[in-house]
Formats: sequence, C-alpha cells, structure tokens
Amino acid sequence: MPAATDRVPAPPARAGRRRLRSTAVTIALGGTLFTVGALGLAPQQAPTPTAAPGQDAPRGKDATEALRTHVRELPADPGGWSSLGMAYVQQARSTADAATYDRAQAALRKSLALQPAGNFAAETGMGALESARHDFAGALTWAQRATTDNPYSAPAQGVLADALTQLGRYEDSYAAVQRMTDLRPDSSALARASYSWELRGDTARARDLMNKSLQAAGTPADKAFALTHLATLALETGDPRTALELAGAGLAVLPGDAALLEARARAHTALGHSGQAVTDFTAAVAAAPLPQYLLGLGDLQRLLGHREAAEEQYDVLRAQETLRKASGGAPDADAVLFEADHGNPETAVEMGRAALRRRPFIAVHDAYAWALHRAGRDTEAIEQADLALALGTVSAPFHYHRALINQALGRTGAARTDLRRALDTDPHFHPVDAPRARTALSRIEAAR
Amino acid sequence: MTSPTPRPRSRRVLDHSLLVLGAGALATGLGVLTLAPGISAASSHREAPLIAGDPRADNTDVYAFTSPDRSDTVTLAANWIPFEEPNGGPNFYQFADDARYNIKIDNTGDGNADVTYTWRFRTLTRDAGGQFLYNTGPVTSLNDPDLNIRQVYDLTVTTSRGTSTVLRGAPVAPSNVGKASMPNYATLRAQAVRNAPGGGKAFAGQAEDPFFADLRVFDLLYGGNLGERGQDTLAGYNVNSVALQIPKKDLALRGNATRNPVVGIWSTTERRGVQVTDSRTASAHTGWKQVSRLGNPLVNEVVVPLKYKDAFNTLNPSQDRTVQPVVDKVLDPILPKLIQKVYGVPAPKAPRKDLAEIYLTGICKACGPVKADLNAHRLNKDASLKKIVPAEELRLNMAVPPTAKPNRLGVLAGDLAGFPNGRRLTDDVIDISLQAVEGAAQTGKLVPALADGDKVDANEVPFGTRFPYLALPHTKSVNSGPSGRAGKPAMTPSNAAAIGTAGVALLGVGGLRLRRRRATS
Repeated sequence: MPAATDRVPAPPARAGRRRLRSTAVTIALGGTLFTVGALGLAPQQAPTPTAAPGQDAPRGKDATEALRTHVRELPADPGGWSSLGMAYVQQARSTADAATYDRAQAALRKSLALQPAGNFAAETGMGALESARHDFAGALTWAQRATTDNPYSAPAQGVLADALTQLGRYEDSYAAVQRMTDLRPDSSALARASYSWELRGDTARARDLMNKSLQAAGTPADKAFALTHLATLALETGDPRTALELAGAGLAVLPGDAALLEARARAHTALGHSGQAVTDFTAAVAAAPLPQYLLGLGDLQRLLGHREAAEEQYDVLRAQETLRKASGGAPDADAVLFEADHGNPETAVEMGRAALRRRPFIAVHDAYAWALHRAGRDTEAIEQADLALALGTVSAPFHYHRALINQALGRTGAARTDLRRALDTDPHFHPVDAPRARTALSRIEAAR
Repeated sequence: MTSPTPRPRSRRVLDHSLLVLGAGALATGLGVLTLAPGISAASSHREAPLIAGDPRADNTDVYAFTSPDRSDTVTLAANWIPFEEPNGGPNFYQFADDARYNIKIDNTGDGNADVTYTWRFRTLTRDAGGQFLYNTGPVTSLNDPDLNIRQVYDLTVTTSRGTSTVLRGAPVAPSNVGKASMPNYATLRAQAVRNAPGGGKAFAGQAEDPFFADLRVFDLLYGGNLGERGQDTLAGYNVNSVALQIPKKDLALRGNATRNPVVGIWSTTERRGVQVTDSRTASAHTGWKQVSRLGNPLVNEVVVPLKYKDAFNTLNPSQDRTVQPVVDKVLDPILPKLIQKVYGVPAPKAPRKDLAEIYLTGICKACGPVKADLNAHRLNKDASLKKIVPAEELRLNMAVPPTAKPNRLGVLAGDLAGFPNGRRLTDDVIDISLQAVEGAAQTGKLVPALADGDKVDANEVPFGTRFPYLALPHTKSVNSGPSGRAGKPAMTPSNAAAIGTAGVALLGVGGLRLRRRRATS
C-alpha cells in the first residue's frame, strides 16, 4: 500500500478539512473562523509560511521525502515506517502543524502493526510524539517500553528523560540523561545534559555543554537547536548582544526557523530595536503560531502602544484556548499566564490546576502561582512559586512572579531579594514586567 | 500563492467567511486551524532533536591489506561521514575536533587491542570573521593562505608500553570544492601524505567513497526480484578517510610477523562523556565513550539483529561472546532462510560454524568446518590458546603475499589475499557476504543462483597504485541533472543516517514477513 497519508499534495488543507468534520470542533467553529481572520490580517509585513521558500518545513524535509519513497517501495518494513514517523515528529515540532503529527502517528502505528513486539524504534517515536503533544504520562509509558526493549538506545533514553522532566521527576530524568550521554554523547544527548544543568541553575555548565552540543552537531537542525538555546541562555542572563549574534548565526544555518526568529526578536526587544523585533516575531508566528510567540508579539505590540495589533495576537491565543477547551485538552503554562493577565484570573486558576495535574513541571508551578496571585490567593500562590524555584533555576520571570506574591503577603524583604535577583539576572526579561520590577524595587528601596 | 491583501481592520469581521476561502489567507489561517487540541499547547518545554545522527562519528568501512607495492607493510584505512555530496557550493566536511578516531589491532586473539592508532583533529581558521568561507581564492598548496579553514591531526600509537606520538600537526587533505578553487587537487592530496617514523606513511582527508554496492539488494530480496540491481548506490559520493601504511612487524605479536602473521583489526569512534547527575562517581561518566565500531563489512546488515546494533557499537570485541543473541544470530542467521524463501536456494544447516569462523574466530582447520588455515589467531605460534576468544574482528594473515591481479570475490575465488582475509578496496564484499551466508566458504562452491550478487562488481572509479590507494574525491554533484546518474536521487547527507537505519532494519523485516506468510498461507 502506498503511504495513505501522502496522497494529497496540500496536507494542511486536507487536515483542516478533516478537523472541520470532527464534531468536537464544531463548537469552536466560530472561534476558528475568527482566528483565521485575525491571523490572515495580522502579519501584513511578513511572508506567509508557504510563500517563503523552505519555511514550511525548515527541518528534515529531505529525510521525510527519502523515507516516504522507501516505505512506498517496501511497505512491509517496520523500520522504514518508524523512521518516517520519527522524521515527521521532528518536522512537526518545528512547525506545530497538526497534520504532520497525524502523519507521524499513522506511520508509527503502521510500524507497530507490522512489528508489535520489541519495536523499540517505533516505541521511541510514539514517546516523542506523545511528548510533543504534551501527553507526558503517555510518553513515559512508550519510553519505558522502548528502553526495556533496547537498553542501549540513546534516543529511547532521551524520550524517557524528556517525559520524566516534564512530569517533575527530575532526579530520574537526570539519571536517564546520564545514561543517554554514557551511551552516546552526541549533539542531542549533550543538549539534554545542558538543559539538566540549566534547570538546576548552573548556567555556566549549561552554556559549556550547549557549546559542546553545537560542536558535535552534524546537521543544520542540530546546529540551529544548539544556537537557539545558546542565544536564549545569553538573553536570559542579560546579554542580548551575544544573543543577537548567536541567533543570527543560527538563522544563517537554518533560515526561517521559528525558534531562532523568536530568540532574535527577544534580543532585539531587549536592545530596544522594536521594529526589528516586531518583524522577527511576526515571521516566527507565521512559521509556527505557537502560544509563546503570539504572547511575545502581543506584549511587545502592547508596549509599543499598538493596542489593536496586540489584540489581534491575543485574539488568536483566545481562539486557540477555545479550541483546546472544546476538545478537552489540558492547558499549558503560556495559556495560564495569558488568561491570568488578559482574561479571568479565576479561570486561570482552574486552568493552572488542570495543567499541573498533567504536567507537574516548574514552569507550570510558576504559571499556577501567578494565576493564584492574580486571583488574590497569595498564600497558595507562594507555595507554588517556591516549587517553581525549588531546583535553583535561574529565571528572572519566576523571581519576578514570586517577588510580587511576597509583596502582596507583606514580605517586603523577600520581595526585594527576588526583584533584585530578577533584574540582576536579566534587566530586560520582559518588555512590560521588567520596568514594573524596577519601579517596584525602587519603591521598596525608597520606603526603607 | 498570493499574499494576504492588507485590509483595514474595520472590515475584518465582514471578511471572515471570505478569508476562509481566500487563497493567501487560507494557507496562513489553516496553520492555526490545524493546531489541534494539545498541539496548541505544545510550547514552553524543551526537547532536543533525536534522530539527526552523528555522521562525523559514523564509521562506514575498514580496510586492511598487505600493501601491493610494499609487501613488507600493511595498509589500514577507515572511513567516516558517509554520503558526502560533492558540490560547487560551500560543501566541506571535517573530522570532529571533539572525537577520537581509532584503528585497533589485536595480535593475541583475546579481543582486546594490543596496538591502537589514534587520530585527533584540530580545526584551524585563518579568518574567523568570515569563517563560512572555506577558501578565499584558488588553493594551490595545503599552506595556501586562501585555504581559510584547515584541519591538522596528531597521530599516536598506544601499546602495552604506553602511548607515543607518530605525527604531530600533520595536515588533512581538504574537501575538494571544485576546479576553480582547487585547480590541482592531486597535488594537495600528495602533500597530505606524510612519512611516519620507522618507515610508515599516513594520510587523512577527503576521498572518493571506495565502497561499491547496490544497497537495494537488501531491499529487493524481499520482493523476490533482482531485476533492479546494478546501480552503485554509493557512486558519486565522498567520505573522510584515514589511512596508515605500517611495517608488518609493528603490528605482529612480539614484533614477529613470520611466527605471528595474524592480526585482528577494527576501528572505533569515541566521544567524550559528560557528567549529568550529582553522583560521586563523576569520573566514570567523563571518560571517552565508544559510539561506533566496525570490523568486518556488513556485520550489522548480515549478522547483528537491529535490536543489538546499539549495544554492538558500544562493545569491545572481547565482550562479543557475552551477548548471546548476537552469537546465536551468527550461528543461525536470518538471511539464508530468507533467500531460501524467495529464491528456493536451500539454506545451509544451522549451527553455522563456518560463519562463526569468518566473523568470530578467523579461519583455521582446527577452528571449524572450513578446511583451510588462513587467518585465525590460533595460527600465531606465540599466541596463548587459552586467551583466544570468539570476537568480531577483520582478520588478516600478513604472510599471504599480495595478488598481482586481485579477484573481486577474494578467498571464495581462491584469491587468498582478499576478504575475508583482510579486506582490499576492490573486494566485492556484498557478493562475497551473500555467497558466504549461503555456505560457499564451507562447500568451496559459489551458489549459481546468486552468482551475479548485486551486479555492482567494481568501484565507479579506479583506485590508485600507491598509498593511500584511495581515489581522489568527486567534485561533481551526485544528482547533477540528465547527464548525471541514471538513478533517482537516492540520498543526501541529511537523510543518509535515516536510510542507514532503515537498511539495517531489513533483516528483522524478513523474519517477520516469513512468519506472516506462514500464518496467512
């Protein structure tokens, strides 16, 4: 059988139609149409994803093409199907294209149907897919199967580590990353090792290991990934100039990559280059309309006094939230933060609680803390804010959030410490919140 | 595709339904529309890529043969970075600075290296500001200032007496980026051949990929149709090679190649480990980790089940016999059963002691059913029989003189200087391996039904007659239009790793398909 998933030349349109047929989404149809309108108008100066060459799938397009040919010629090869599925997962992750996720799932299921037992490659792919879809419990189950079937597979350990991290089982995740790097300290393993130290606040070690990951990178996608996170590390430790250089270097390697565009947009924002920041954010949103890009662009537009432009991004976020609700999916940290600041704090608290059930990760603790604070429940909020910082993570936004919660609780000393920490870490951590942090800090200092 | 037309915002609501149908907006809008539940939330958590592979650590082939023009020496060669696409563009390929490349020699037969040659590379950049430029003008020598990015290497040798440096700061032959940039590449390549102390020679750099095969032969076995054979899948691509010509006495047990002519050879790539956990045994994690290993060609394809490929890459040959499933597959391989099903060629009876000889012990009369004393460590007079273990290594009897006109089928055709006695560049390892799994080594007869093998009998370009023997790298893009190759665009470097994995998976498929056929027939 030829790849059933590949008959139609315009996959997004096809998947869109399929999704329209699904009953769950009919509820959200109004929101969806609204979304289309908002986004169709918003990025006026930016190219559409399909118009920009190579932008629709900056990663792994050649690989999926060759693998599609392979499974057409050898439709009974479970290895071919699992490789194709994994390639789709990688591609989908950089484009946030649901149709590609569906194709990944179809290919991986096909592989598992052909070889139900001991198929660690397809199991690894399923784990990566569930992780990308934020079903981390599901991802963990698949990863455990894959690591049992092949204890020597570094990618299987990687999927296991990713799931454990997001489920808040940090010690277990470090052990999995350790095992992964012991098996094969290649670019993807070194990137995870870097992240494990970043989570624990050891920025120097994280930077060193991400540089090693960059050095070991064998493909443009690997290089781009390492440069994205080196740029982010520079940015989040108050060095936007270096961040700008690194993101630029990354975009030379992989033009049109959404994550790199976002990193460069944030560097431009910190340096006060508002026009370039808007351009880059808009291009990032066009390449992959992920919530953090929409929120970043919206907040920037708001700061620039472009209320309408900001509202357009917020509208898309609201539409995405409507879609999510209609399907019963769990909210994510960005959605919780957005709801807390731009919607109803009580709703944000509900969302935060639901998010935490699915994903007890530090970023979710932080978002939940902020939602509780906005809802005036500061005693509960401080517990969550402490949990967000329990690993020792160096994060200006987390410290800022805890500072305001401490302030609300009348703990001025603790608030001052957290505000200083946030501003020392990254004086430009947020276009709106960083100036607020400075004001709050000077008020406290003046009152002493 | 037209871009969305800018409209005043006031008209937005009115235009909703129109925009859904409008071509430009449709594409953009559907990006959001297709953000499925759960996908829209796919943000703010970090997952590094997983499948990119590690081509610079990916060891593809190992060769070992008595040098045809210097019969007191052995030439060892190993290749990395498969499917290097030659191009007029800015394509260049480098050894990893952060890896160790090794060729290892076991002369006692215990599965451990007695002599290890190690290459470590360093990249030198003249102008870091414009470092994306490989060269800034025609390059006429390895020291040409126009060659912006260069690599040099240190070569060391490690024996029981310790480690000593063979070459320091030796130059790597650059990627061949084309006639305009490198008008006389042969000169550059000649400059990269260095004399080593004690009568050796060394080379490192880009070369034409000497492996020749229709890799689809493994695919097509499953279709039962060998009609599509005959395309050298590797033709037109380059690799990065290291090669070493070394006096035989330097490799032989007790320095005596007459009494102890047999050596086992394999190569490995290592990357430096890192510490992730706070465990007190930090040092256990920060040493060198073996990430790739290669001795005999096609072992992963012909013998090792996919599931154990990862384990195999981390093992030392001395540990091979401890992985029972791998040993079992040598003794009872899937491939001949598959061939029986497809072509009706009866599979030789298991256990396949003949294959164990070829892959794990070397060939000797006392080792198994193949009636010849060829290349087992037991033939070394000073070897301790008690220490010899089955281990996957490419074994070479250095006492066999080089053949004036080598036969591509090597030992199977009575040419004892070829694979599986070591491996020459011209040996047709696909056809030999197919015949070997059909029992040709044991019976001494080729299987006629598979006589044609993959129908690719020689490399697409001739090899050199002097060290390093490797052909000069291609400069023409593999898929450069109608005048280029007849075949479809098979691979690019970015997907080579994925294809490689798929290829290795095929043995597993075969077994499964057989079971399925039985179940449904």
